[in-house]
Amino acid sequence: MLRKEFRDALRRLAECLVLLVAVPLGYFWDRALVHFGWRFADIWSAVFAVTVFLFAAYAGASLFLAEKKDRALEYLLSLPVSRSKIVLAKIGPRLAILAGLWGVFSVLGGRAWDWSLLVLLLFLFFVAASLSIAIDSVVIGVLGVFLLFATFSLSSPTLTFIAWKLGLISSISSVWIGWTAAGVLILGPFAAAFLLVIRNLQAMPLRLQMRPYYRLALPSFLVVIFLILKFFGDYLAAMKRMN
Amino acid sequence: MLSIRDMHFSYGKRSVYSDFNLDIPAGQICLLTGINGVGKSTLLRLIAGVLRPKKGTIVYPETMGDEPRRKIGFISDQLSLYESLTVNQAIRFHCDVFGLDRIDDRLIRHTKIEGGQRVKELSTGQRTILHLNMILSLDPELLLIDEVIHSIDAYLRRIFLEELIALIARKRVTVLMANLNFHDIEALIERVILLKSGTIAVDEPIETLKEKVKKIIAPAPPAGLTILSQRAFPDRSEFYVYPYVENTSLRDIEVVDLNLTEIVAAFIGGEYAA
Repeated sequence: MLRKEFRDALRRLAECLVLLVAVPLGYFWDRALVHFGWRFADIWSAVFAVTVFLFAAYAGASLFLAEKKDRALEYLLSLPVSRSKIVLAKIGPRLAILAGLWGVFSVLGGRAWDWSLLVLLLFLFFVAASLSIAIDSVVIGVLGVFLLFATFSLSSPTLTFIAWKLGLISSISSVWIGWTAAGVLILGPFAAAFLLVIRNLQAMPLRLQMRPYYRLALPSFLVVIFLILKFFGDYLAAMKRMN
Repeated sequence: MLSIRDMHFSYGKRSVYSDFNLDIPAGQICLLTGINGVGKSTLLRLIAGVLRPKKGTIVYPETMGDEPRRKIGFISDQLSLYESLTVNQAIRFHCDVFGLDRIDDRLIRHTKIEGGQRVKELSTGQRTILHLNMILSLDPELLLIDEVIHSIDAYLRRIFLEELIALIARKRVTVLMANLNFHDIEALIERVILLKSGTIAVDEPIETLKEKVKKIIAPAPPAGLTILSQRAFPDRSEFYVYPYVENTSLRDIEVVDLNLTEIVAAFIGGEYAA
């Protein structure tokens, strides 16, 4: 099973690496037409960053793509393999490749080991993985991931601000508090819903198995949106005053 | 003995089984039948472990161990396999999961399946044979076969049935098959289970059922007998009765024995007429 999943993960990687074609194209476009003076290394770095982020989202969102596309969920569930082993076999190879990409990106970009980047990539991957079973279309899945990522980006300063207002932290610039809280509030319920669905996964239409998403992930997401709408403006005003 | 106890199952709000009970002794060959949508495939899926009961239990024979799916051969009507894999990759995947070095691919070689062909390129019959070949290599104790054999050609059907008969003879495997057309398999069947609205409407050994279900050709409905279904012709009427009890007072009637296909058609015809 691991071999098949590794091959599947490599296929997803190959699909993402097609983006690297943009590196020579961008370079020649600059040299021949726009003359911005972009360096090859800069173009490479930017495109590779996009590729790594895209792979993180795509690898997660396509976790159950083969089963959905091939109508193989019933076959998979008929095998003497526990649901948790199925998920581990699917996540393991994808995480290994993602870690490899992060290593390459860190080393080639001269950033030593960029742990905050790894956390972001893992967040993207796990959010995407959490959505993989709930959303049939990988394209919508990837869009959903980036929507959640945008929500995460807005909610982390908002939550930092709330923690600061409540006196839980002394500085509004302690971003890790906001990151952690936003990560837990967004990723936590989606991951819990995903695990609950997987634990009871059956060969019946997935729309009949999505109750944990409606009960856990959706309310929590709406709370985060509410907090952003209510406090993000105050956060911006506070930042403006401080500057 | 495979035992299903007080089982409840529903698709969302649509209940399929409630308080369902069934025992199948080891080595028995059962036919599961009933009108479309009655839950035959669902029952097979529940036993195969790809669906889970909401309540109740399915207890497998002890000989099947802690992981019964290792000893269950399930061929679903959807012929679910990884379609984007090649035949060789699908077999290797199957071997990896079940810890086999290789499988005896004699059956596959019978057909025109190439190892490099993608599963999605195979015909329904070839896919059934591929699936059967992979399942037989596991030496299953419980075989669950959904309505697949009608969709394959006569040659592949013969191969399929020959392999099934050989397996039954070799290992006294328990077989539960859902079917609507039986002339191929009638000789194999020992017990017939007819499902109706999530319950067992008829559960009889096949010989008993053949004694109890008869076609009566008569000018008028035979008095004192329960009619399952009937057909009217210009010159006569046919009445399918269950249970048939010999009644010497009935005159001008002809009692006709039925084969399994006709028996099931009589029951199902009665359900549709109701």
